[in-house]
Amino acid sequence: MISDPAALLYDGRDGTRVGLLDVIAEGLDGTLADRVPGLRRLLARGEPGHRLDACEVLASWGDRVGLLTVAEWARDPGAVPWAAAVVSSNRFGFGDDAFARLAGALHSAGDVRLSEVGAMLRTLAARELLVIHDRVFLDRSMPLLLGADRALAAACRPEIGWAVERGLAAAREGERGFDLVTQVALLLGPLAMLDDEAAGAAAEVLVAEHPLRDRALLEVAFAMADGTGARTLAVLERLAGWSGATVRAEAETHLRSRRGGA
Amino acid sequence: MGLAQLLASWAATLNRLPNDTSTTASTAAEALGLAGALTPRFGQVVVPPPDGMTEVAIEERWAGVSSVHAGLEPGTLTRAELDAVFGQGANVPRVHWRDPVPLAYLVEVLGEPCTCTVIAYFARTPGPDDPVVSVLLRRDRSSRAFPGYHAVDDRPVRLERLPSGEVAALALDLRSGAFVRDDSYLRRIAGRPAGADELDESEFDRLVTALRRAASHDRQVRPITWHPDSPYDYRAELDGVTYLLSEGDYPMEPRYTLRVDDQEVDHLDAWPTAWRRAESR
Repeated sequence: MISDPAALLYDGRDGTRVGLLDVIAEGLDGTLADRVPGLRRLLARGEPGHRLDACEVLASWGDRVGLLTVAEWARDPGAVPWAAAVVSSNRFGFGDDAFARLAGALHSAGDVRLSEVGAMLRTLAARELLVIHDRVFLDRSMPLLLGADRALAAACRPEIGWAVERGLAAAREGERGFDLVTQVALLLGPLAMLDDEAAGAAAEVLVAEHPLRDRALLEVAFAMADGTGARTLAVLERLAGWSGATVRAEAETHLRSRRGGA
Repeated sequence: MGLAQLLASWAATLNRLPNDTSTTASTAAEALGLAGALTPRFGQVVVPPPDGMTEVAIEERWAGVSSVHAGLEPGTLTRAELDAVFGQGANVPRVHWRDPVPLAYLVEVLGEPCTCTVIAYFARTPGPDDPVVSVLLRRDRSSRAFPGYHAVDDRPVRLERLPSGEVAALALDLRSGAFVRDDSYLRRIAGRPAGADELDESEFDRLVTALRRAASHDRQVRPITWHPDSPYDYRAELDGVTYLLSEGDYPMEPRYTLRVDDQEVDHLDAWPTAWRRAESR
């Protein structure tokens, strides 16, 4: 039984140091299951950085304790082990990306055979992350998760809508330390898959309130491509006439796609 | 009855015998169905062996019988036959490299005073057809405490000893959040197999709380019609489960408490928009 945290978290099957992501990948087929007890102990009692890493590994593998912990941490982000000091930072300077990593873990867990309880916990964790979507850096982790799992997105429909509404409201109040407007724009894609009217309406608000945020508008155009109705199409048409060339080009591309062209 | 089944029967019997000095070699021999004279030998009592065995020796310690050792006739029992009855055996360390190779099988019946570890000895690392040389049935006091908390394939299961003395398994119904008796889980927990995790109470409560929260969300988005049941209660049937919704003294209490079979499964501070009340009282 491995007791060294670094070996548990970063060593491959053959004992060579491969890094966290490779350990996660290697263990998706269950062949590193003997590490689960040690990882659970590390999650419960390790130093904050190791606890986050252990949670990411366990949750990625569909482990009950890992998934439960993601849900609990998202429910009370002020009480997470790293609340006093960031242990994982976004490389582009947006600060604490811990929750983005955990959302990525939920994404990986979608490829694993989950128990019925594991599936429930994964859904619960996704909902809890959406509840804090306006407060923590998640970047594109949630749209990637929800876009890859339509059933999960449908189960989280109310929370997606609330996350978009609260995100737009929070953006009116001021900066968050990360690009919240773009983060909201990214979430419009999964919303568009489920509710064209709501996604289009929210996109219109975002475009009206943030007309100079090209990065966000690009993501709005991309998101509207996932819609199937008139409301999202109207947003695309509006952006296709945008004054900014990059936004206009992006919108035109997706408009052509929606209309069945090349 | 084959030798493997006989050993399983002996293990179950040894589990049931009281874990005290009333379980002597004599009472154990009788319970095991061993007839004939008992002969003391260096701290053990040797009894006439049944067919297929060369010797049976019962050892007593301070808390009564501690083990039964059986030598086997060559070729009368194989690893495969043991695995078929007891399941996968566990490797056990041996002191010296020339010692026989041991393989252990835990036999547990929940609620019994003891567990029994059946340790089979082989001349070499055993394949399926390798013969068992001898067997040790070791009694240990059961470490089970009640209530016991488990996750069986991640589902919360609570073990309780009822006033009658029997052990009951209560599994969490994932839809309602209530615990429902399901004694099929007793077999799935006994012997501490893989997939049946033992939890402490706080871990168990965490899991139950989260699953009830998940169930609550799913329930709140469903169109449920609640029928008045009393001045402050409503009743509804959902998926074959009867729910009772009680209004509380808000804000000192939750506005609504949901119960199933007298178990509180949910608290709500607002009426879900998908629910409706049937015609007024």
